[in-house]
Amino acid sequence: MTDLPSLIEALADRGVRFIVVGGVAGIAHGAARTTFDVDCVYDRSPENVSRLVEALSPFHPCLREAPAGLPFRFDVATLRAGLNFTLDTSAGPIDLLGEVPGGGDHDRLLPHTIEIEVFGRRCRVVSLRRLIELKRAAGRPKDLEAIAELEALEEERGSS
Amino acid sequence: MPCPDPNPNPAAAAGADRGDGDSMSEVIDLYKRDVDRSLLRDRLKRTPEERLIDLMRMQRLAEEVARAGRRARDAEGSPHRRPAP
Repeated sequence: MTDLPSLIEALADRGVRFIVVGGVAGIAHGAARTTFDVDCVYDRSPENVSRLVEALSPFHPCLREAPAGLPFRFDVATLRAGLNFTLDTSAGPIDLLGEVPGGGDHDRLLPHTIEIEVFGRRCRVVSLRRLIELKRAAGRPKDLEAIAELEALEEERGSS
Repeated sequence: MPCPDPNPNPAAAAGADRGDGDSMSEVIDLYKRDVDRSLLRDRLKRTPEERLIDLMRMQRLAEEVARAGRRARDAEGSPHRRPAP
């Protein structure tokens, strides 16, 4: 199970600039589909990456489904050298995305977000409209059912 | 003559794998017909935090079911398994 309160608390309390996207964003908007990881687009500025490392290190992040013995150090240098990371942590799986197809990086996505309050913290979530656009841009067959639900959700919100 | 698939996959049927925008929209519209809107309306009555708490409950349930399935499979393969009556 993903310990969302702990992850959100750790990230928010360290002042990490991040945007929740993907399935968890859909659920925050009202979607009913279950997901098992948290997707976050993070700001790649050096100071933010440093805060991100500080916030998540207590959860002992490691690469998800990486071959046993593959060396991985969760630190600023590693995050700066890469872009997207699929991680397992003691608080559950989390994907750290430097960019998303069709949405760009954190700063490009920022105008298309809303702020929500959950577990006593404020965090940014991609807007429902942008989430649909991101999933359409990704063009993955596995997302088509999810897009249908998100569009139906958008229609329901519009009619309520 | 090829036999029509009795359980066509809408994604494959509309050629979604080609990444074609029009066919993608067709597939999405097909799936949209089956969306349980009453469930969505119910979700919309809740706060974002309540929705995330529901997600964690569902994840916990899924994990319990997966564990039970593993236990059942292990028991089937166990040499100490009791023979069926």
